[in-house]
Amino acid sequence: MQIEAIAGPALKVVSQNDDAAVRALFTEQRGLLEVVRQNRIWQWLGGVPSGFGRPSAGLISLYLAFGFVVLLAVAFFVAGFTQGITLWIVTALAFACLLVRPFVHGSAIKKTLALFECGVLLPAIVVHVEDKEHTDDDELSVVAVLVGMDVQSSDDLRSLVVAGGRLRDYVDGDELTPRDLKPLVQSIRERASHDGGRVAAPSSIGKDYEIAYLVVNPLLLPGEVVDSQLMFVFADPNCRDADHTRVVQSELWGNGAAGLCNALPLEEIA
Amino acid sequence: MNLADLRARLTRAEKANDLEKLLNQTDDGLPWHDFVWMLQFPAFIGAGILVAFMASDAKPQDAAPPPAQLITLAVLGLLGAAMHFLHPFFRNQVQKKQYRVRKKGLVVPAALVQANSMWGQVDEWLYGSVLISLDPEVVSRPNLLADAGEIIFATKDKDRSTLPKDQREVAWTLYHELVPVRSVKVPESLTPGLSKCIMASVQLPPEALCEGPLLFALALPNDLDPTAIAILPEAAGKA
Repeated sequence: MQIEAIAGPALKVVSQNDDAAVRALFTEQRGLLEVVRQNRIWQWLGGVPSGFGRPSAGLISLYLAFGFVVLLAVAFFVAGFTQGITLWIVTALAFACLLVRPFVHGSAIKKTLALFECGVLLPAIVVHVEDKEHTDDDELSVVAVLVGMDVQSSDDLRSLVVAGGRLRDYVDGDELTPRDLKPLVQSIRERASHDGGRVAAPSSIGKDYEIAYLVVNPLLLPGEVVDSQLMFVFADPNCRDADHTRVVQSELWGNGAAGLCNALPLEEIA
Repeated sequence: MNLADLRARLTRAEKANDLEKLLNQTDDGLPWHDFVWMLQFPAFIGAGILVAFMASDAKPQDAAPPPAQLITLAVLGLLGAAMHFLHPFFRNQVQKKQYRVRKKGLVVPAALVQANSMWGQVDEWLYGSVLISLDPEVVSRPNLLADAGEIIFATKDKDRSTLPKDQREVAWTLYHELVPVRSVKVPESLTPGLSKCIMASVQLPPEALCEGPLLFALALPNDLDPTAIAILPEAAGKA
């Protein structure tokens, strides 16, 4: 597939008012995703599998592979002593480890690859940041974002920024929330599960907007902290289910995206 | 640098199983070929134990050992032999390519085009882009390659719509910095005096084998896969 961005400009700074630069940035993002797909360098999107099941599935699969090797070695030793039931049990256990492996993470691999093949980068405006979740290695941020599903130009991007800012004010309680948006604002505030799923936003907020609930590793962001209203999410536009929206490494957002994010700091409007 | 002599030394290192470690050749897959190779030992040891058992159980009136023991012995022996000889077939595609690079790769000079900004500051292998050429001219005039590397790097921050069409893919590959990606053929307009040049994304050793401005690589000719090129570390020159 020919990558349109091959003939594009070398972006450095992208202003949200510069329509040509914003369009070039979106083209570059599509080009970067195409490079990832053509070279199957899935580590840029988080690796395979990622999501769609228990995070420990990959480790369990590794243990099963080692289990097969160890049990087969044991079976060879046992065969020296007996050809009876013990040998058959050990051999059966070894091959059971091998046969179970695809069931442990096969489905997650398939779903991850399907998402990576069809996903697109979409601009999103942070409307709510919750207390951080802690893991062993990282401090994760729990966010709700307003995703623009059909943002093509700088005008579209500015509209998304304005709509996201308005919604953020409602969620923060700075402005009186219109009656039709109260259920949505309430659900953003009280949402318990930030599973990478999306819901449609009411048309009064804007056309073709959706709300995504995400857990973000700030290390993926340009400033390594949620300090901008703007981020780009990788999402399957045709599926709002859990795990189908996520934040990927900011290197894939394109050159100039970091400057665009810096120009929209979170604290100024929040 | 005598490239033929260097290749001979690398061949000796490969025979001593040192080259894979030297080149830091890793991949994400499980080393099933190593597992299979290691499993030959339990198979032969099991066969040995069985022979000892058969000998200790043998009675003067027995014409032959029990058939079950003979069959098990045959199976263990065959499995052990199969694992010894067939373990290379259990390499995945990347491991096969890396093996071919070590066995059949040509030693070629390489010019650094760009490198991770941390390269040289930390004791790690880091990604970079190099220019290699299979043109025989490059050995006698190594500066041509180094100069071409600089010309290519200059395209990185140019508006690619202003570049000739055949230079755009090279500039785009440098610009996006995603690695590892397939190597790109470099047009002769960017490599004055040289032909048959490719730009490859490679892992750069913390201390590379170099002579003047040039690095050295093991490369499979006419193969654009990123695993078909390995940059030699300084230790390879002493192998």
